[in-house]
Amino acid sequence: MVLAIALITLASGCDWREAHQWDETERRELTSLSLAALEPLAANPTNSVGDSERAQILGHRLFFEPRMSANNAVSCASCHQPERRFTDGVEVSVGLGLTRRNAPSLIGIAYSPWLYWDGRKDSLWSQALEPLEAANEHGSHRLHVALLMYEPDYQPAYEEVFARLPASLLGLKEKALRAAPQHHEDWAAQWSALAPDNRTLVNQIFANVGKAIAAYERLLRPGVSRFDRYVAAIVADDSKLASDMMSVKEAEGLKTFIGVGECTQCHNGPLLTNNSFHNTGLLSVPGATPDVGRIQGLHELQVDEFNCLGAYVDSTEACDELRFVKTGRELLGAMRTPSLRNLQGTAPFGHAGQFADLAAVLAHYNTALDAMVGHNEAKPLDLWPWQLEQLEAFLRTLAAPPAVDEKWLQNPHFLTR
Amino acid sequence: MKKEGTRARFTQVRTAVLCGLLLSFANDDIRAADAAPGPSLQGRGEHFVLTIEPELEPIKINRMHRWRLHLRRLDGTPVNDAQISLIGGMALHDHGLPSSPRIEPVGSNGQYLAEGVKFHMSGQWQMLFTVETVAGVEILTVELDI
Ligand code: HEC
Ligand code: HEC
Repeated sequence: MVLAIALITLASGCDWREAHQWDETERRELTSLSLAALEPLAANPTNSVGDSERAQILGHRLFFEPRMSANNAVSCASCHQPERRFTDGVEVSVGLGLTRRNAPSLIGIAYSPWLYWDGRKDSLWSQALEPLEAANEHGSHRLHVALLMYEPDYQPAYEEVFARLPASLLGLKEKALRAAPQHHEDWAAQWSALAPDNRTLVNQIFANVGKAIAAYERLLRPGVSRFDRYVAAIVADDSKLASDMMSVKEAEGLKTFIGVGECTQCHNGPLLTNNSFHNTGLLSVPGATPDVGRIQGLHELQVDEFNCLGAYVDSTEACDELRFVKTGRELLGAMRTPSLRNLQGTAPFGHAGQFADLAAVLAHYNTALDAMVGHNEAKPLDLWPWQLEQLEAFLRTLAAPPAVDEKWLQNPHFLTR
Repeated sequence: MKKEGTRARFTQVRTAVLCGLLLSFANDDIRAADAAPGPSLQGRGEHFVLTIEPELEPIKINRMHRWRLHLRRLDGTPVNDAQISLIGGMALHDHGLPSSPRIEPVGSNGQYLAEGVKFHMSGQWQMLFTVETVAGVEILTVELDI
């Protein structure tokens, strides 16, 4: 009996050592995935107010501002809810109408050179402009957004961050125009009817609204997770702490993640994303045609007047990502690899919320069927059911509350109105 | 996965002659090429030697950066009039580079600059440099372990 217990203890002891044992190459790989390896967020030269505190405060208000929408009810925070890690819990988001995609988390997004699943935007500030005018999101138009900055509760804050608001636009206020170049035929006509100088002024204010929102979003950084503490313990050769931080099951899952699962081919670096575009053969939503992904996103990016080489940037010195952007058929059906640091409370997963939970995502990778459009880069894994469970258990260790002061997660308008 | 860490290593150089155009280069001096500097990466063909100096050392994944290139004949004479293009990929995974690098000549000493170089995965990368001159075309392959 004693012998049996001793044997079991020994066996589990061996098991324990096995799971938490990593060779030099693996340790280096673990370190590269750890948050400690995350470099300080580089300034974005296209947005000179990106790290200004006043811009952050203004951007915080704008992020939660329903008055920018056509029905005074939709704000960025409607779909990017702080209490859900800036997602909305539904398959595809709903604003003024139904969108066709799942709302990604915004935590850590400032590190990505590309925004949206198909990367059709190349800066946070230019991204922020699109929902404001999209008919199924805020459903508004840029003239409305620009004129809102003339309201007494915005004008001082806006002018503190940017230049004085031009008086020449004030006259447009009474006219109740609706003016935006795209989306709406009569809005486009009213937009064309504006004097060219006024169109430029409106665009400048509109872009500045985006730049303030971007300054706020840059604050949303990922927090230290159990996984990160585990890596620190492994690197420090503190096996006791390591085994406190991760169970054997989770560590086995981590082995699969960096090993036979080949997940780090795409989910690499401290945010567990390479920010590149890959076709992983996700099925389309029933009834919808397959999403062509990056190939369309690239086209939209290149004609976007607010891209890095456009007229509304504060500098074009850091536009190499756009200048040397990848083109070609490989991009058909490709989507940007999402970070895996925001999986907690952000289901459903996939670009159209195709997966109800993590088990469904992993089942997809396990079989890796042919893609409906393009070519599935992920190969079938053929893992055992318990390996999938271990992998899932590991993914959960990446969860952490964002490293953001609580005040930035609150709706600022509750305090002021 | 067989990884040797993140340091890029020169592992192997292969060559292939693309066009039937016969390149005639007198007095190829192999030793001149063999004596080329050590720490940088090199691609060597039957006619040309291309030396690569990444501006990001060691090369890190997911970071766009530039490479300084130096093109010479095997006898060591610099080649200034070449058009060089670059494609890269991973044999084990069917995809190419995550960007579209471009190469332009700089100065008159066989120097070129490759901009927009980026890798998004660690592992074995094959970089194919197509070197076009009036005399003909040669492809130099450089394998990188990132
Ligand atoms: C109606 C819901 C909705 C509203 C309102 C909304 N978003 Fe989004 N957001 C989404 C969806 C859905 C996506 C993904 C769309 C796509 O990739 O095509 C997205 C994508 C993003 C992204 C890119 C994230 C990534 O991983 O690439 C950012 C950043 C973002 N939104 C910020 C904002 C800001 C700022 C606002 C307010 C100006 C806003 N959103 C308003 C639903 C919404
Ligand atoms: C070839 C690149 C690639 C590989 C390999 C890969 N992924 Fe992904 N992953 C992606 C892309 C791209 C998406 C987004 C797909 C989409 O929605 O169309 C994604 C989505 C996910 C999601 C959903 C996240 C969300 O927020 O919606 C999870 C979870 C995930 N991957 C985990 C894994 C795991 C675990 C592995 C290893 C078994 C793995 N991935 C291997 C590229 C990859």
